[in-house]
Amino acid sequence: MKLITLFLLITLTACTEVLPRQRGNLALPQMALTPDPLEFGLRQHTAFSKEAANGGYGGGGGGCGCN
Amino acid sequence: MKKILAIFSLAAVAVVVNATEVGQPAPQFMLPTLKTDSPTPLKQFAGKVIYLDFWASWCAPCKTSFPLLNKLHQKLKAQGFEVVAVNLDEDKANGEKFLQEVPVDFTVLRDASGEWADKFVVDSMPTSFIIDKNGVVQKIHHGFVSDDITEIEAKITELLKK
Amino acid sequence: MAMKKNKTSQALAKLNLAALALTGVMQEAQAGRVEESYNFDFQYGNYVESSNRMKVDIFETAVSAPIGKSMTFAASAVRDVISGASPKYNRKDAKGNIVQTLSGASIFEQRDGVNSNLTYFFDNALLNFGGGFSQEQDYTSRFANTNLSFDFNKKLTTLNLGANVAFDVVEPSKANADCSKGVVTNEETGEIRGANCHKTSQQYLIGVSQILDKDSLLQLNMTVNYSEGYLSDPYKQVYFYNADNPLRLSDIQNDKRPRDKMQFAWLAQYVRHFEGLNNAALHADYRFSTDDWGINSHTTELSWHQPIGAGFQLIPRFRYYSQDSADFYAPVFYGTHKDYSAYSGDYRLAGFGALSGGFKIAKTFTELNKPIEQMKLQAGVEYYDHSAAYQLGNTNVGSFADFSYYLINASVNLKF
Repeated sequence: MKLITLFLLITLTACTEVLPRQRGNLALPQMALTPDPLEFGLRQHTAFSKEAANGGYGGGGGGCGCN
Repeated sequence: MKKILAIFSLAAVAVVVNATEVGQPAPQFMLPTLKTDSPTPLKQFAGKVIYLDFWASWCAPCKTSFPLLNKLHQKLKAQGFEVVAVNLDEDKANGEKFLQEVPVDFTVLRDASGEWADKFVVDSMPTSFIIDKNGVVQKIHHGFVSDDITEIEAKITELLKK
Repeated sequence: MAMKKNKTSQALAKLNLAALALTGVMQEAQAGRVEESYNFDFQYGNYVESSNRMKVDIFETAVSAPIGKSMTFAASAVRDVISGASPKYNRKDAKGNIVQTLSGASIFEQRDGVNSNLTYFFDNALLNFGGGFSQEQDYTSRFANTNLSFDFNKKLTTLNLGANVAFDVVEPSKANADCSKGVVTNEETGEIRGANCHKTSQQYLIGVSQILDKDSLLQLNMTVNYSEGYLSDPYKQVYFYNADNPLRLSDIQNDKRPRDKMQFAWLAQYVRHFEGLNNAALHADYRFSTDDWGINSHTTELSWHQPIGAGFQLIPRFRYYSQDSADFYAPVFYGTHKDYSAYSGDYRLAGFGALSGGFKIAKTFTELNKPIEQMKLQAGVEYYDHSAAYQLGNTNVGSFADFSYYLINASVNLKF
């Protein structure tokens, strides 16, 4: 399946190795995939009411990787 | 098949052989204090039970851990317990700001380049190493939730008795 | 005196409800991390369309709390207060130009929704279950969702899976609603009793987030959405004109859409940090969606998060959206309804584009009295312009359905 290939490609190319102690920038609130969930919900809800497209968004990742 | 597996496991071990593990002596570092930059060697705390904590200002569990560690330090320091927290922020100012919000009495050092953190291998933020009176690592703790303080105190108390 | 409510606005609310069902899929958390803080959020939104069409006031509250060592509980409640008119049908004027006609007088409608969820954190994984419902005069939606995330590769890679299902029931008390079950329409009096329209939607998500370097992150998602049941709009109508005499109205029918829909969407989200610009962050999204009703759409969004001064952030945003029309869409139809299996003149199924831009200011306070650890205040405004002319490829059917809206929102978040 296309997505699995893409997934493998990404993890294998692995980009740059980022150590757990180097995740300070990724931990900034403005670096979260959804910095403001309530506002995001409101805007998506509004757009969905007026447009035919929906979906795509969801899931977490990035951030500080703590614990 | 077994041969390949053996080679792979050997290779895997070879990769992590630099990590400091339970039962190994803790690498003897010399790091500056966060506030005054005065060089501080680990052996300054020889003969004590040490909770060595690698932390950063952007790590939310670190904020939870500091007040609890401070309290534990105050409780057990007379018995020979020390907390040594090593800050890994690239920018010292972030570490200092964190300490203003969460002031503590224990020793705070910094390792901005991460040189010593990598020798210990900090697999998560935070990671802590409980070191006994002989300088040997007895426990490695990854991450932090407030309930963890109970088991940490138990281990420290056990090591203080030895 | 019995007040006869014009139920047209419910059609609008109905579409709002469907959107609420999807909010469950949006889980934002990382495996192995338990946020040991209590959160309280309140948000106010004000939505105003051009030409005195629809107005909505939105009030939302959300709370979350840690439970034990490894769980977080979250709940939210929302109330929408809706008034105004909405498009009902398209017709031809005396010259043969297409004109969009709005529903009648101003209406007052209220929608309430609640949802809650529980997240369990493992060392390298996260499991979430949630559900809720939404209710208004003639519309009910019940939904449940689950999400699973796995961290790999020293938490540099996260695999996300999600599933969401919603069961909706609309009971329009309006003449001639064509639902499959229990339709009772009296052609003469227009009276309708016990009509019951059901709709089931399922959405599945699979995606991966990958940290590219210490300053950037990429997320790639795919969602599949399948809906079945009554998918038409009970308050919209379609005008049919005589094929030989195009200005002569030959038939008026209720909006009639297929009884199922399959939709796919692919999203790429990129986030990048700029240390030199005071830790600013760029967010860039692109989403392509396609469905078996014939609608393909493109969405592009860019936002810039600029920290300024002591705890302030300025966030400008830009979005462009474009969609094709549905296979069974036309502003008006020719012939009789028997010539078509499905037909709709709903502007949301037409080909159009939308440009929107917005700006938000946020201020975070950290030096506060215990037990409050942090407070964040935000206020923002967005202007959205819907126009047939903005459609990519521009198969412009005319500007009769063009409109715009302002969305203003303000919120407060407290962390304990």
